[in-house]
Amino acid sequence: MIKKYIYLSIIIIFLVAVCVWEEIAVNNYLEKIDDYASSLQTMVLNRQNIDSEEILLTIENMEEVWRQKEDTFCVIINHQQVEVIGIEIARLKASATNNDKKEFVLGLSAIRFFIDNINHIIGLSIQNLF
Amino acid sequence: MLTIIIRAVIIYLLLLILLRLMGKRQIAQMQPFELVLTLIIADLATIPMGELSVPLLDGVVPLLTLSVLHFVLTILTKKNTKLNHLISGKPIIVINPSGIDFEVLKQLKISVDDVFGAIRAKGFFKLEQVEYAIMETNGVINVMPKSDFSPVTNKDMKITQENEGIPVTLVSEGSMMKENLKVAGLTEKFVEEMLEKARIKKLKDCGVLTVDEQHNVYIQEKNKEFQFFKGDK
Repeated sequence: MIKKYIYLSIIIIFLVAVCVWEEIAVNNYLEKIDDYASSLQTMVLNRQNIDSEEILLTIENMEEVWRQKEDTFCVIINHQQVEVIGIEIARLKASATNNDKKEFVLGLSAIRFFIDNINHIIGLSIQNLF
Repeated sequence: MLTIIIRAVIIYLLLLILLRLMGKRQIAQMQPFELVLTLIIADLATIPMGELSVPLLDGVVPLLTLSVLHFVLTILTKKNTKLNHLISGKPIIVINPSGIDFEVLKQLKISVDDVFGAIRAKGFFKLEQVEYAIMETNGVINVMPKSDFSPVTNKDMKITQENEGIPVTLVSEGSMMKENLKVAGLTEKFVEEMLEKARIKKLKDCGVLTVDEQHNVYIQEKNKEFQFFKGDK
């Protein structure tokens, strides 16, 4: 019986650890990507040309952060939901290089929407419970 | 494809551990909530196994949560009879000395034919043979026959017979069961002597060797007839 209690404790500890880790991962990592998206939105707001060095560098940094954390997200979030953010970041880069502001803004909105979507799915809320 | 194989192995091992932790029960012996749990577990296990886009944790976490809940519920129901009755129900008498209790049948939503089937399964083909029939919490109907129809026992016949105790397996398919040797209070030497007596050259040729409290030995060489040696105790 004691053995069973030990196994039970291990399982409970594991479950708590997974919940905490998920919370940290989703909040911290997604926030970083959202911050990049938000700063990019501010940058392009009053510009006609978006193929600037500064914007491209920010996108690259954003992509790098995303690539580093993508594997972690795949452990906790459906891979298809993770994939769409990666695709949008890649498209963002292309639209900045092509100086396509309309596409760029749409891409940024899409990224923020997908991040918000993940937050809604993962986060604990009454809507999610029912 | 390799990922699916690895995922299947992980889920299989996890299920193996969890089902061992949940205890040994056949489907017919399960309480209703245990049956539901088994069905959910089977369903949960298949999702991350075949669907690569779903994280393995999406299957593992609910599986572990359900096993924790089941374990906690088992402990609580063992300690609290009222809770046990609330969750598993109570055994209910469907046949009493006055006959079938039709009110109870209505309450249990079972027919007279179901009761007949259940008592026939217990070897009684006439209702007048049955004193009591009780539906257990797992849905099985157990029958207590009237004393006129109870099987004759040694006690009825006033026959005294020594209790032989339960036989312990010392060798199974060529392997020595060392833990059982301790249970029987015997040593490997006893097994070797028995092998020699039965003219079995090697331990691996021995299919089965059991011994009871009187040291009666049943021994059988693989693909040969069994031998029985009366014990000295």
